[in-house]
Amino acid sequence: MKKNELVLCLTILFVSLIGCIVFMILGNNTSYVSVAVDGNYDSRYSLNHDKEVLIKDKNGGWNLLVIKNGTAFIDSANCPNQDCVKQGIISRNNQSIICLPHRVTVTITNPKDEAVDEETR
Amino acid sequence: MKKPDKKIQDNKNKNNLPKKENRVYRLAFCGMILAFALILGYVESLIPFSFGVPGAKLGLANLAVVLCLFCIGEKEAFVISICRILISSFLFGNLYGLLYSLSGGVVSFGVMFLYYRFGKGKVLFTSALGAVSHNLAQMLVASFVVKTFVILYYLPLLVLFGMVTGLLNGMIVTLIMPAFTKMKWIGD
Repeated sequence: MKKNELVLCLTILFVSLIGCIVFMILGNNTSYVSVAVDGNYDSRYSLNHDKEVLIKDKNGGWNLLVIKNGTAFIDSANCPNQDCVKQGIISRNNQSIICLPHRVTVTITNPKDEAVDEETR
Repeated sequence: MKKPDKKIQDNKNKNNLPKKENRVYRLAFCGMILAFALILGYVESLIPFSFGVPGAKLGLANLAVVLCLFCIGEKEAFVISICRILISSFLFGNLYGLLYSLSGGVVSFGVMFLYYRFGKGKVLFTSALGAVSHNLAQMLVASFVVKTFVILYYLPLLVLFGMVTGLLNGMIVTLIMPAFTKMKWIGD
């Protein structure tokens, strides 16, 4: 009986490991940093241009997004738990940083996935 | 105090744990487990565990819930699960994360209970299931609140993590459980 569980565990571990590897491999080309506030697209910046962006939400919350050396991270924010700051640096496609209290999502997206070309700020 | 020669054969007492009738003792024991869960939560908050996945935690406090599930019973384990989420978020976290933790905790307990009751009920797998379902539920709730599904790209990583931490917790529980069964319960 114990063997069945072991097999199931190993299968799940193996499948998720494959999933992680696929996630890692999926592209590291020229990308955009997309910012979404409250589920709505807010702005988009190129990952290659160093920039500091202050993201504001309706209730006075702010997150300081820093794009530097091909990576993006949130340097500081005024959310109570500072999870977004602790989430660290993202650089690959589909990686994201989320600030739950401010409902802000910062994602690295692939230019080929963008359906409509929007202007960057 | 002599251990009684014949043990009462209710379904929970194969391992010489406090009997159902001994309510006060069970209650005190549950209080102890709750304190244990809170301490584990505190220790967990001290360890810097950032793997880049939003919402990944070691989940040490789940260890106490699993322990209670196997040593005392399902109802007590459920109460301990809810209480420790509430109390530890008042003490160590912020109230904002309460919604996510609570939903994760309820779903996680539900899954663990189903496996305990209707499945084989092995400690390691229960713990692993609890951890993974906690992560998944938390992530889903977060996705709905932030109105984005980007975080779902982290699904495989979260499942991997959940399984590993769940198995580790389960191993710790199997190591400590014999200590409880060897104790002499006052009043038995």
